[in-house]
Amino acid sequence: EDPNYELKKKIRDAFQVFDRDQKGVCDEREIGTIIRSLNIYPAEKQLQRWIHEIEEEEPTGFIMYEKFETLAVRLLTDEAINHKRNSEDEILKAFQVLDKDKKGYLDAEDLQTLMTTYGEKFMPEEVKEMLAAAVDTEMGRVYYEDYAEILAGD
Amino acid sequence: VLPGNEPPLAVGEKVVIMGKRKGTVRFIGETVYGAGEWVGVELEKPTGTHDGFVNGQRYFTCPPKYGVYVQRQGVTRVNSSAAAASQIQSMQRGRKDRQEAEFKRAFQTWNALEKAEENQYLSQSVVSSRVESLLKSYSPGAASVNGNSAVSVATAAGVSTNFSEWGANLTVASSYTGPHVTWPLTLESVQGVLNHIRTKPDIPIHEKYVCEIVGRASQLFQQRMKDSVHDMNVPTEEGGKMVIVGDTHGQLADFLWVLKQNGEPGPKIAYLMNGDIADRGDYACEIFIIVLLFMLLYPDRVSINRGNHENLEMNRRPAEVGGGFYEEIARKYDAAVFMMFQQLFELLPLATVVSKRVLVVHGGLPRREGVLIQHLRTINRRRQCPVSTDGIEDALMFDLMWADPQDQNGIARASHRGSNCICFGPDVTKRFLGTNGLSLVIRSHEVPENLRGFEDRHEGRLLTVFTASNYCGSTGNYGAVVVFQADLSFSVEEHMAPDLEAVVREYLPEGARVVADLGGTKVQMDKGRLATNMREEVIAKIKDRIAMAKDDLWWYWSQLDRSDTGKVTAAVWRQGMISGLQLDLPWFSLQKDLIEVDEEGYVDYKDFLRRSNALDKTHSALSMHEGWEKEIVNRAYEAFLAKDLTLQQVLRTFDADGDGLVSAKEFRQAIAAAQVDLPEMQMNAVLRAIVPDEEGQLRVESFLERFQVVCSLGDKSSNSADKALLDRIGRILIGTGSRVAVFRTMDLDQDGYVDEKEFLRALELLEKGRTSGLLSREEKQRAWGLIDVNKDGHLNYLEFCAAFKVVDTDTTVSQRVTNEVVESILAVLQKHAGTLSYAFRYFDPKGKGSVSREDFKTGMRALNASMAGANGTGGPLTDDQLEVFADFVDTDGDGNIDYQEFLNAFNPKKVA
Repeated sequence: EDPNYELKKKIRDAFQVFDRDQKGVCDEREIGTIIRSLNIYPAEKQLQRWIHEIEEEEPTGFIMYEKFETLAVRLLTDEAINHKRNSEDEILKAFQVLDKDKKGYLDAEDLQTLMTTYGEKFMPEEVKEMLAAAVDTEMGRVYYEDYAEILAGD
Repeated sequence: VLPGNEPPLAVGEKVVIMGKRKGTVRFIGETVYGAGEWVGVELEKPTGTHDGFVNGQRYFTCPPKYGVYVQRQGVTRVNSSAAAASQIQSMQRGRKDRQEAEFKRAFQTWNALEKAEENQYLSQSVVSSRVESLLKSYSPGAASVNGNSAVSVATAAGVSTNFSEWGANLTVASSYTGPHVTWPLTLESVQGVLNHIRTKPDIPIHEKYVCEIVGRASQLFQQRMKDSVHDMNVPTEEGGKMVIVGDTHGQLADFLWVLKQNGEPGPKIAYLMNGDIADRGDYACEIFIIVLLFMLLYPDRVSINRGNHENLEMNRRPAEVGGGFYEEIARKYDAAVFMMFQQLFELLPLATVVSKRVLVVHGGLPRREGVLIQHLRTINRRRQCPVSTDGIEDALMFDLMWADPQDQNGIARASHRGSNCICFGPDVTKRFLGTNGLSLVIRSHEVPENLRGFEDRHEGRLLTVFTASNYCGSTGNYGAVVVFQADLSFSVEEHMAPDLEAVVREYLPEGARVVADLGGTKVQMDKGRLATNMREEVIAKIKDRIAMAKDDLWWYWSQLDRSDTGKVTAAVWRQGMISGLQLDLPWFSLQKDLIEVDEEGYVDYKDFLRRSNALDKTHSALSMHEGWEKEIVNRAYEAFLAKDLTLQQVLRTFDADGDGLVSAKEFRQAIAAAQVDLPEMQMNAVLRAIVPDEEGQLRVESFLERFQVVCSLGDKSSNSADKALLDRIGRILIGTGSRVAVFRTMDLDQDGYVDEKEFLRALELLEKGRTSGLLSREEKQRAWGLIDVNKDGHLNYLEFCAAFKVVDTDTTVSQRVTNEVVESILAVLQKHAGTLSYAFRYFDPKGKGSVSREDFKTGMRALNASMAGANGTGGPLTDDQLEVFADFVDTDGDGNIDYQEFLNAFNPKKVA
């Protein structure tokens, strides 16, 4: 009895969403989405390292399931603590760091600038998506207390 | 507002590594680990790899497992904007990707289920043909209306096969306010109909015109199509083009939108509809009318390929399980119009070659190697699409209608579409095009996985085009058409159609318009909401299927539940779902919406099945008298009691320690050994209901003694001693199947009556072989006194035998048994409603929707018998129960049964 049997089943299910012909292979560009769909929240740099770790010696642009499974099991067991989703409180604190004037909200424009200037910068498409979900359209503001709850919630 | 430049990092500051792990800076500077600036960090948690000592070098010291070295750019100051931004970005990316994956999975599951529904049609057809051959042997005289082709069915229904006569006998009343169609057809006339449909889609055009249009179109197809493949050219006039339209499935808004965007068919604009106009949506009829009218006006410019939904038995299925065209036509017109459409469908080309270079076909390419277009031309299309692929020609036709592409080379079974369907790889497409001197295949048949209206695959040699946007109002996909120019260059036009009301408003007279610019309606679909909706739809459909497959599921899990705990592991539960429902879905992700897994990883399948009820949905819709349930269950009890003695004996052999207890499993074995004459699924249902879960064991005596035999004759107010006496007689009677035969031998003059002497002798004969429960002569005489109600010294023994009923004295258990048994019967009927409909139509060539009580029984009996062959479990009902059932379905007692209404009760309900 493999103690990780159910876990592997979960990993396989997540992988198969992107493995169209069910061949046990998927495009490496989808790996980030698969990993995040397993509730693992890496930094972009970290993600690139993982992909490098599991790609073939002669990279083909495709990732084999077996290697992915080994990585994912590790990430969901031993290393789980390193990449878990932040709590609502932690996310709220991060927003508060950005809200220098302690207004309780960020203007949409400011959030856009922050997200495309600092950290692991957002591409225009990404920032657009975030704004669409986060901005209170009437005021043009992001009331981040609400949004932190959304990010931390289901 | 924005933070300015920050001072350089210093030892002792709190930092975050790659937006995740927190710690304190213990070192900054160059190291032997690599070029550039490095930072040594003591982490807050022991998630590091060392204590500061790595590769023979130490730059700082901390407790073991708390140390890491990272490059400078991997570190951000806690509370710095960069760290905060990284953290939020990581969460935002996570949320987006989770939604993306969730949505994709929801669509895949939804799509797999939709394909499985279509596949159900294929497996149902196999059962139907088995039932039909049984019916032929039971009732050879009846005129079969089911056949291989619509022509034979239509002929039996009295629809003329002379197309030019269609509609001739109909007149248009002066009160009719819709558009008129005159012959020879004029553009004005066609525009009139188009405008009517665009503005009043819910007022059907007159039946006479529909018949005429379908008739003339059939005639045109018959005349111009010498074989099964059509040839068309892109108009070569200046500005000429051809629009290829994929599945529309009755979604009128999409088709009107395409006409608006690309122009109406005409000398310069050709249209080719690539099948699956029919089924699912509400306006297939209107789409056909528009296309056929333009085709009659511009024969070279318009055509329709046949799809797997231009098919008689498929169209007869309810919309919720993939059909709907019959319902649509029945709602607007009648069965005769439906049969006319069916004859048209069987004249449609199976594929079209455009300008000698492009093959347009609904499904896909044949599995067989070396097939030439020439071979496709010779297929006999004037029939229903075959469901078997055993014959060469059948397989060719089947693949053109049903196949899907795959990325892998070769041919593979399509896991979701079911056994006969195939997927074909890029090599197959390449070879087929090469052999036939073609350059492109355009096909439709499925919503592209990318949820666009099109998808090119097989290195650009194959294009899927699907035109119904937001298919079934569920999937949020775009629709598209392919537009060819005369030089065979092409473009794909995608769209998201506004809803029909918005399109209608667009064409209403000036002033009534509300939406000014429909072109601006590019609906941004909310993926989260779409995913939730699809998921809910999927779960509801799965629950339906669970209710229908309860017996199979119960069997699967209970076999693997060796010690009868009522629980199995989640893995076994999932295997059971695959096997019992015949559905290979991502059960791991679905399980959380269906069942609770306990801490040890087990699920309570008994509770799961108890909660899965088809009953509340179908039962209330059944127009039957409530009493039928009790009657059916009484017959089931009777079957047990008939084996009373044998059962007791067998059970005693299982009960080695004589404590009167046996396990549920032993009880099941005993029932099998005693050969209780009851369909297995009813037996299972009884078992599910009577075994007390807490103990897992059954008290043998109490099971059999709980039953009481009551006699509906005799003194109603009789005392308990009399009741006990009748119970004992009842047991003797029921314990032998030959009770009527015994009385018949007593009844020498065969007048149906016996007297007291004969009665006593009959009982003696029936008692032979019994060792317990024997009656004394005095008791028998007393019984006679009770039964001979009118004291005339004669007894109608047929009435007498029928008067005894078995009831369960434990009303709680009895109620459970009744629910389970009735449930299992209804589930089977629901599962096979399509086949039953097929069986009843055997006796109803004109499609009136009703059959005689006898024919109803014969149809049910055929279903029963057809199932006995499949897995040896037998049908849902015994012959006895069939009688009861027919009595109760025949509500008005006129000897005819409205089977259409009866079957409607079993249709799955639309998910709100």
